[in-house]
Amino acid sequence: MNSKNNHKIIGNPEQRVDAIGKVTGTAKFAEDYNVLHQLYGKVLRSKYPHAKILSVDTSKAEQLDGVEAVLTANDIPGKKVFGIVVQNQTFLAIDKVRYLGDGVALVAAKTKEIAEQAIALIDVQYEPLPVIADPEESIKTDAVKIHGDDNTFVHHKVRKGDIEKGFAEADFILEKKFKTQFIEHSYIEPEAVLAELAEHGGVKITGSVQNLFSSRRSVAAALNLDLNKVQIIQSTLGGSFGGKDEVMTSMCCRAALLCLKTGKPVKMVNTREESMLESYKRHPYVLFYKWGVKNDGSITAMEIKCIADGGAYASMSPFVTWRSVVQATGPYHCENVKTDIYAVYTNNNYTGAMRGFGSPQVNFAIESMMDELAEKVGKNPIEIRLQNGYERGDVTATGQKLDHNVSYKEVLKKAAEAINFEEKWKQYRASPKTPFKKGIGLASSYRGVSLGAEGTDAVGTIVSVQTDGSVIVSSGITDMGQGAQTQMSQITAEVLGISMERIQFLNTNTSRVPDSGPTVASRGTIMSGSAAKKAAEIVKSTLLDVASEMTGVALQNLDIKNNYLVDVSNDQRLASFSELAAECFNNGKPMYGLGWHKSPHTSWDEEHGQGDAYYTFVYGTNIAEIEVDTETGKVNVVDFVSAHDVGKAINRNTVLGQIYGGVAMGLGYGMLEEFEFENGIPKQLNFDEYLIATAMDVPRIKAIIVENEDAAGPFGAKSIGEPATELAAPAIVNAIYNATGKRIYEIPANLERVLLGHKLTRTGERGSVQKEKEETVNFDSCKIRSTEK
Amino acid sequence: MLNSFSYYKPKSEIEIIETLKSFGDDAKILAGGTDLLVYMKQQIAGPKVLVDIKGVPDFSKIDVDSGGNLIIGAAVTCNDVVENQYIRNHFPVLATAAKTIGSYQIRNRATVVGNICNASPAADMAGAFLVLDAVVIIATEKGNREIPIKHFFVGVKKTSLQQNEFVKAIKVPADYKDAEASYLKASRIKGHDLGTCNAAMSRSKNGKIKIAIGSCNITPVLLPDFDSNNIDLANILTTAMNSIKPIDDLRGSKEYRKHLVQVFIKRLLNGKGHSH
Ligand SMILES: Cc1cc2nc3c(=O)[nH]c(=O)nc-3n(C[C@H](O)[C@H](O)[C@H](O)COP(=O)(O)OP(=O)(O)OC[C@H]3O[C@@H](n4cnc5c(N)ncnc54)[C@H](O)[C@@H]3O)c2cc1C
Repeated sequence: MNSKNNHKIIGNPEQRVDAIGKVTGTAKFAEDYNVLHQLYGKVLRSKYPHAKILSVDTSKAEQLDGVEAVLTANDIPGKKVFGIVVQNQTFLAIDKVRYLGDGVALVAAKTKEIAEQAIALIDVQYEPLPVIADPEESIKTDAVKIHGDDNTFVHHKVRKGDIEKGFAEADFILEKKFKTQFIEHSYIEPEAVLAELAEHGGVKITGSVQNLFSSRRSVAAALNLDLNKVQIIQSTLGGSFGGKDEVMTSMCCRAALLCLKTGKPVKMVNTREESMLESYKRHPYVLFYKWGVKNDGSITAMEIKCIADGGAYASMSPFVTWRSVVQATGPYHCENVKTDIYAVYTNNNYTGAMRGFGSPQVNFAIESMMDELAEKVGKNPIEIRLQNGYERGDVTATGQKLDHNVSYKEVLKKAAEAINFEEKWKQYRASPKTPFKKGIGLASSYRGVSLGAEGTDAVGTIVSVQTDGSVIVSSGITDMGQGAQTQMSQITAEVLGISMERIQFLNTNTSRVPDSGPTVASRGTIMSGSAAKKAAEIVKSTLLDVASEMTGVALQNLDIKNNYLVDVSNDQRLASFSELAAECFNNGKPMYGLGWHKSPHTSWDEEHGQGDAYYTFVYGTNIAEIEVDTETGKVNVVDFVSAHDVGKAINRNTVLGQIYGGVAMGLGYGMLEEFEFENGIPKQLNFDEYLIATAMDVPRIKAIIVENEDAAGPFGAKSIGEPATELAAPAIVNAIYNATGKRIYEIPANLERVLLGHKLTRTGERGSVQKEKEETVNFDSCKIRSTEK
Repeated sequence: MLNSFSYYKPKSEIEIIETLKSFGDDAKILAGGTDLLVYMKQQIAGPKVLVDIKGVPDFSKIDVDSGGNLIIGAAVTCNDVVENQYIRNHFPVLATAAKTIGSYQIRNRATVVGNICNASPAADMAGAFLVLDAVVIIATEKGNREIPIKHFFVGVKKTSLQQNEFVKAIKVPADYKDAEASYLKASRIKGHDLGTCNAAMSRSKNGKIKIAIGSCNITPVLLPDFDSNNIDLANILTTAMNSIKPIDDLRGSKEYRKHLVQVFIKRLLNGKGHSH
């Protein structure tokens, strides 16, 4: 193992540092935090997707025994709105509600039951407003406005070459419209926090928060507190996938507000229904792709327009759509590009960060287009991609020269070979129509790593060696289950020459580690890992200085290996790591290192959409092999290949976990999941109706880890979290085409779309659940919300 | 959130009846609870008293009576049925249908009788029991009464059970031992999901074909018998289309359900009935 680099720990499938706690139950999730005399907070949410609030009468609720506070937006002492770019999201509604999940009032009471009763006693008078449910309606100038005087709040562009000229050079035009859906993050742990008064003023909030520093900023501003008076401590997170940002900011703020008003600890926990009702989703996109193409398969022009449904608030839309605009052409050559991406408000749930962050949508369109192009010019999916795909030194649509190891084609070829793609593809497409047809399809991508030109990109990680030689590591980057703690621990252990057991990782606490930005954009390993490496190197250098003084051996001959200080000239052990740590302490030397890592330069010109968007990229390919029951539309995924260049796998098992989970999620995106609304009203609020892939639905997955070490990352590591999930959907849709000759332009490719090629009118009703109270059972009454003519 | 309730676990049939009598409409029978607790949590049902029937030892039994009829007690779970060798050998369609219910964990609790009593149009056991001409054995104040299962379902979540009655067992006639029977279910995922539509078929030794269709009307539907020596597919499909009245709901559209029913009937008649 690791013969090339002689690493001791990097690359090993080390056991996750959080595994034992999670399997034995000692890990503390947010709901596990309880203190004496805590109150329970509950939220009254809106009754309409869009309405003016005429009045809020809390008097009855206040009189209820056991109620300690009933609050509205008026009770927020500081800034009543928040937002990462556009500050327009309310903690509690002011004058207006914009989606059904909007909070209107808060209650803190002695028990959950009392809190719920009190919520029911709050009397809110509304004046309903027209509901904007469709982004294509919202963008029209005469549409009802949701905020201010324009529903369009983002417009990103990329301009390269001259598309008129490009289309003129083309032999033919390929023009298609695609649609994607709302997706629920489906983290297993719904939102929860405990807010307590801090000992010396301010508040301490413990909870399932993904991006502690941005949450803290908004909470502090709302409460009129300095940042050092708001401490947010991350509990062990039961998943997040990008989902525990704004919704947690809101919950933290509400709980803290109730806590400060009552002077008592306040616990808030969402039920699954509350979570689905209030939390943000992945953006649905409408995508218009128009390509000018030559008969040889080269692309002369790309005109791309996408409209993203931003829902009720701006949230992360400006950033999510920015990644889309950068990556909208895929890793394919084209000299003439015009891309416009818009985000618009609607009265649906707001949309924000979710694993993939603007790439799953465009990848679905790009990779479908690529296969159509191949079909039109008589090539196979591999040939067309090898012809058009990027190589080192190529220049992207945003004018960025790719000067790292561009492994796009290497990854594509490795994936194809692993499943004998080309032969199967030919065979399946030629096979006769029987009820059960096999198909194979692929999708590939390039993806910018970390935040890129989105914003400041810097991270701090702290390594602190104790006097007994044990080590504490902490960071501003959080672990949500993806394995960040293990990665940083491995990097620290590798640098310090010690074993993993010596390391204890601390959950993030905003008051004890530097603001490191959000844990998003697959930046965990590359950024916090780089910082961990630097921190460990700082400490190691002090330790070796002390060691040299202690032993008289020249510094260049000293190293730490396998928990011992060694003289590398004769491989002699000079002292144990514990002895060395004690000596260092006795000499009054610091064994504490703050590693700070700032990303390399990136740039962006908003007007022309040109610049070095990301400092490095990763490359991936997914291949799905399926069987379609052409009489029922049932698609069975029988085999799957997922190949990714991760730079360097710090922990092989973690990478595999990310790949398997990513495929499962991507498969749900492609075939099953759809958070549906009917005029702003969600049709499903739990997992009985919102279906995600179960263990039984996930196929055999062959993961191929390609390792082209990148100078930008620690030990060459880049990322895998999001790349792992952004390709399964188009691979499946392309496989369906290979099997049936029918292309699906709107995901999920569920039974009906596969069978009938279009979506049918359906309602949120369930024929099987009729209220028992109903006396006469009239079957037609099941169609309460039917839109059927 | 669950409302509070009291819990009784009688040890005999009589005690159950007595408990039901003393609480009237406030009481509900609890078997596995996999339907009932969901309704209670969603506040669709709010019984003040739960009467657990799992305390009666006989109810957990799968038996064959002196006439060779199969008797499945009210506390027998879906997994019991899936794993029972006698059922697998002689009434395999019951195991096939039971195995499509929920997930392994759900099947550990869910009873087959509870599935019938819940009377969902999508109930997976309904079709299998209908085509096997099963008989529901009902305990009443005045002793037991039996009714054919085709008269048991009267509406969405409505059965012909009267006040102070409950189902103690379900009986499958010896006539259907080793009869050809099969079951098909369409669902959106392979894991837990109610059927978008399902269909069951049996071919009895005396030349009758029975076909039942689920999730396509207010109750599971049993079509009139067809003659297996003279199969008129067009007539069967027309009869089926005339007997169902599917709706558009979250699990599928009316149009799709109608299509599926026809595909399923053809497959069942061609001996291609297998799940998923
Ligand atoms: C995740 C999940 C997945 C599911 N998937 C499926 C599925 O795929 N297919 C399917 O058909 N169902 C499914 N169900 C529904 C449910 O599991 C089944 O209907 C189950 O068989 C019900 O049995 P039970 O013993 O749990 O009934 P309970 O919940 O205990 O009872 C159901 C109803 O019947 C009444 N009842 C029960 N026993 C008697 C009796 N002996 N006499 C009179 N009344 C009685 C109860 O009062 C109650 O009204 C699912 C449920 C869940 C939670």
